Amino acid sequence: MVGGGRPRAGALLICLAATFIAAGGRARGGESVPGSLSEYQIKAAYLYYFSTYVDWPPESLSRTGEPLVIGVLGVDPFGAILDDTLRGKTINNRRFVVKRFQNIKEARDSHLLFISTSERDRLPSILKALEGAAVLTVGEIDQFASRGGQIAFRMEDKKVRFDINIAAVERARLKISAQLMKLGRIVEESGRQGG
Amino acid sequence: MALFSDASVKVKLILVSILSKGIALLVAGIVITSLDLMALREKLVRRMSIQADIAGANCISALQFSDSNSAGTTLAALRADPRIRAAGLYASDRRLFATYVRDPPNGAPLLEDPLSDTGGGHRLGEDRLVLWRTIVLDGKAIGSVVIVSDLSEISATMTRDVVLFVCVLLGSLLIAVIISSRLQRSISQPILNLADVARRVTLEKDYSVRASGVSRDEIGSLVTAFNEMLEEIRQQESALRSARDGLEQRVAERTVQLRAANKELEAFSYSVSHDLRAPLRSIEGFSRALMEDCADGLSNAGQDSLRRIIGSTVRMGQLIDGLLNLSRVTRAEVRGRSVDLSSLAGELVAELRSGEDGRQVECVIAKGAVVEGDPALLRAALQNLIGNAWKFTRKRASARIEFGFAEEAGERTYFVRDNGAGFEMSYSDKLFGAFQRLHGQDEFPGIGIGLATVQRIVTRHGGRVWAIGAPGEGATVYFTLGKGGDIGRQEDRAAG
Repeated sequence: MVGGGRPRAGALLICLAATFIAAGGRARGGESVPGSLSEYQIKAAYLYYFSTYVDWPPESLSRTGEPLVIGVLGVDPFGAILDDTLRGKTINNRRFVVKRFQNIKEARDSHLLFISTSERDRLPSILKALEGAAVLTVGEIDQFASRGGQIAFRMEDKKVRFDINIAAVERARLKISAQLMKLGRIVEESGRQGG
Repeated sequence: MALFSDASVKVKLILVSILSKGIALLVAGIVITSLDLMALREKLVRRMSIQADIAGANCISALQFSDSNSAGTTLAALRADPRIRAAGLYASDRRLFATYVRDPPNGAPLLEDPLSDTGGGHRLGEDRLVLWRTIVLDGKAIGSVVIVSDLSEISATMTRDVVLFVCVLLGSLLIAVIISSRLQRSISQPILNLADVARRVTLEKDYSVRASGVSRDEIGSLVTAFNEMLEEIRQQESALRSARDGLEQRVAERTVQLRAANKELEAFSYSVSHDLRAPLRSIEGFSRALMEDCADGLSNAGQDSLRRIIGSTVRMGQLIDGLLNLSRVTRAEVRGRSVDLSSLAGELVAELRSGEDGRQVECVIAKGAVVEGDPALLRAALQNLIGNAWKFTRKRASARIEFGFAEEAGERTYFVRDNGAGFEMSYSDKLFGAFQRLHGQDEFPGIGIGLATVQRIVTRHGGRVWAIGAPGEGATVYFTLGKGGDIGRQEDRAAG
């Protein structure tokens, strides 16, 4: 059995290589194949996954059947990708609704708010505006998490990784699953007033 | 099998006990061990399934966020189970996403491409279990976990079980041998005992021995039946013996009685004959005196009567002489000596010829009939036989008398043959009786004592006598004489 394992492992490698080539071909056709997805396709999927690992406080999701609002504040980098990714997906029988905002005032009603890089300079005021709101903030602005955001995307070895600011999450009365926490890099907040 | 059937009861009983116990234990052991093996494998598969499920569940987020480092850390937690040699996490596209290998140089090849069946499956090899579980999230297979587990724990358990079983088997058989070799005695000992007694009875014909070991079982009843049989045989034997002893004693008593009675009878007949002579002689004497002195005074009829009286007294005298002779023959002691019957016959014929000169008689006498016997008695016998032949051929123009012998079946038969008056065979049994006559006195005179005398003499020599004849054709009297050595014994029989 052990002796027979070696050639089999070799065959496996060939199979994997073939899969990669085939997958590369299909990716151009817009199929969602991991490893060949675009950065924002991956990030859109991550947004969906984040929502599955986060518990909102009951008052922010009072009515059953109320859709989960995913907001995008500022210049939307996803385009149709986010809508495509979330189409048909549900969580606890709640549909997803993607809303795009230019103004933080409107965005307070989101459950998950992606803050675009275009809002880099307005970030402190945005975060201040969201204080007390049960909104999971996700962004890709530099130092997003350490500046008070909750989850920040970053690139590492051409892979999408994320940082988590646990203090900010707790302030928003959200609960993040340990499954998610062990995957993200935990970062401390720096320079936050009154923190 | 022939070896078994020849073995003694003792060995058979022990063998039966060991064989039955051994086979029962072996079967039980094999069944238990096989069930144990199956149970152990099932248990291992179940445990590994649980481990795979747990690992799979813990890897879901890592798969979602493509974090193979995290998945590797999760898989590494399987280190807690020493049986797990390797584990692998495959993404939904069957790409190997993360691995855990306990013993790195040898571990990697252990991982195999998981089969595509949903849910999972396992493959039991000789030395390992390969188990895979599909990780399902929201009804979608997002990857699978493969665990390669060691079977060394199972084989160690099995080895221990087998060793334990062999020890138990050997121990049980040893105990079985000890117990059965003790218990078999209660069965085999009575049987061996019985066989021994039976052998002794057969060899020594001793029916007084008894088999011991009477128990309540079938062997006990066998022993009892055997003993009863022996008792019956013994009783019958002793009854037979006492009957035989009684018979012999009775025969001896009777012989003595008979001998005494016979002696008495002979003495009686001798004395009667002897004592009858005196009055007879006086009757004869006075009758003759009367005839000579007073014949003139008697009528013819009176003279005739007187002559008849005299004739009768003469005849009575002859009868008495015959009786005395017969009695003497019976009483006489038989002395064994060599006697030449041929020359004896010659002498007798010569005597008869000289007594009656005018007759033409052809006499044929075979030579060499030498026997062992009493000369006087044998002479008397031959005298009677040849005398008879002479007498009954009187009316023949060419008379012929033959003495001869023939050997038949180792026995010599002598005969005296004549071509005289002969006799009716239906009377042959009367021929040898005393005073039995087949012919009238006027035809052939005689008192009818001759053949009776011959029979007595032949009998006293241990022989037999018989006659064959036909009226007008002549008669042949045959006789045999017992062997010389038998004479003494034959005397006893004749006396009886």
